[in-house]
Amino acid sequence: MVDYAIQSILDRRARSVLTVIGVAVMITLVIVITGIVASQDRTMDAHASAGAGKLNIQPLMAGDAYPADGVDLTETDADAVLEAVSGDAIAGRSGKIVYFELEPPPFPNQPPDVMLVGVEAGHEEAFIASATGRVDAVAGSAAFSEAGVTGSVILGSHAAEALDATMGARLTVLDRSFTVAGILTPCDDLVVDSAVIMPLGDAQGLLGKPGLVSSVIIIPTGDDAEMRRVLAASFPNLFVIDSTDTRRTVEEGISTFEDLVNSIAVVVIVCASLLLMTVMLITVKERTREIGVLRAIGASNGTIIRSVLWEIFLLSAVGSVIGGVVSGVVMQFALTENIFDLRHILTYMPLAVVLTVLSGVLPAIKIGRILPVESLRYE
Amino acid sequence: MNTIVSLDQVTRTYPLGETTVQALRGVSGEFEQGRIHTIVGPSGSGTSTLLHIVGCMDLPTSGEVRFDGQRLNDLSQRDLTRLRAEHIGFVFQAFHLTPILTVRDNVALALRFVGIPRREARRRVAATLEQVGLGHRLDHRPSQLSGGERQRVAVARALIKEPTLILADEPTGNLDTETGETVIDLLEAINRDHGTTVIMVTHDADIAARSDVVHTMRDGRIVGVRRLAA
Repeated sequence: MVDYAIQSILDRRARSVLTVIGVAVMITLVIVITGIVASQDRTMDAHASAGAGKLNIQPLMAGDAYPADGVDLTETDADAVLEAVSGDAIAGRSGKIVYFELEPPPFPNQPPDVMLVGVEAGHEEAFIASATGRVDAVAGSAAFSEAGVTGSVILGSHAAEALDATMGARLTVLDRSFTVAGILTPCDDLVVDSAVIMPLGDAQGLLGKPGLVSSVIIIPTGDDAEMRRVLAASFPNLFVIDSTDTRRTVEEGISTFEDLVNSIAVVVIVCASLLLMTVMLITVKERTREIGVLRAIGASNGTIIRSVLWEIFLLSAVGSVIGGVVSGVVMQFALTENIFDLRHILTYMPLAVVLTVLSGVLPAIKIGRILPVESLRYE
Repeated sequence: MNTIVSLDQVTRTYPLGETTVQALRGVSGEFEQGRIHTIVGPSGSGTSTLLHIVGCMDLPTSGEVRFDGQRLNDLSQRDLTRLRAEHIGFVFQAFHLTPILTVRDNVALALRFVGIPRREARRRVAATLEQVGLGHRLDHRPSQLSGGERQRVAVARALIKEPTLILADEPTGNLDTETGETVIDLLEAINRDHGTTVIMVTHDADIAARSDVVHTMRDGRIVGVRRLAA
């Protein structure tokens, strides 16, 4: 009865086209929405991974928040930590850091959109490097020892874009003017990518916090878990966080967003399924007499049901393909970032077909149960 | 002569809004195989209801119906559907052709439900449509045919599966006299050439006069059976 289903679709062209469009829109919305969440997931995952092997030592009151902003420790305490690990940290990849949020994060528990970061000259890599690599400059310099100790800033890639700053430009930060001495390459560490990096003294002066820092960063040469235990034991007034803590913080931050978006996707699917079921119920009602004739000349319940389900399947398959293509175009070209993922699209397309076919089961069964003579009496 | 259909105290009651309609009130009778039977009676006398029950499209509220000796009351819906598919052809007053299919596909539909292979089906469709004088209309849609032509397609659809029984519910009701007679000629030819039993509901006395047996109904009962041919 596939050919019968095809003929039925062609014969009710307007309704078929509208149904296909409805299915395509549903699938596009669901794929794009869930694609955004998946992309966000990957970004956060990369961010958490980028900090692998790095330890942040910060005041106990700051807890596991990273980056810690608003709670300080004294440089004396910070120097004591650095002294304690001096033999076990990678040279040049440990130092005192000041953080200050310039632009808030887009979602709770995520790194700020733009952040002021004060680092010691010569210890820039404590911030921009990890145990596995470092971030280079795409323009200018990635270190103040080359660029100048004061009055200069090095911008993360996202920060440069957000502040519309270019190499060599003058940039005002908290009412003070700086020269852009370097712009870093884009990286997975969102804190580095969002940073306006300046010499530690400049940051302390801007914030009115002489002798105070936000945290100490250490990249150990050996096992970071072991160093974490040693530091926690030696400095009970301080909190030590590593990339695991960062990952947990990130996951907590985006879970609310993910729940919301996934709820929207579920609502879209449910609404589309209900709409499709309604369309099929109306169609089946209109075809009651036609179906009655088929039953009279010998079509079984199963034949009728299969015919209706074939019709729904064909409509949803076409809609699914169109929706898949449109969502691919949207994900690649219509968003601020290319989040195209073929695997993601191919996962949701058959799922959508299955769901829309399921939504047609009730109308199909309903019509299959009507006695032939009742169908023929239907006006 | 054998009995193809027998009824014993068959009743049919169904709800209509807040009331109940007793369409059949204890119908008993027999229909001989190989004959043309007409059922006559005023509107509301239960003629169409009787035809639907004989054709396994409806179930009696009580009483017994037998088709070729088999008790229909014991059959499931699936079995009744199978019986219709293999042994019973229908011709309706309003033709009831499927508008989205061509003449060829409309007629072939009857063979799909009995598992006839596509090639064999096409051969039989062409031959049957020739038989009813519509061999040149294979690829037309019902909307492109006259009333008489549509009814002949319906007859072809009923005939193609070589049924034991053809049931016709006022087959000439929507046709002019001349066209109607053409359709009756066709049914007579089928009965004569294939031995197919024909049971027809009609309000037309002239048509009734052309049949072998006339069953008269009134108020849900068969009140008379008149044999016009030996």
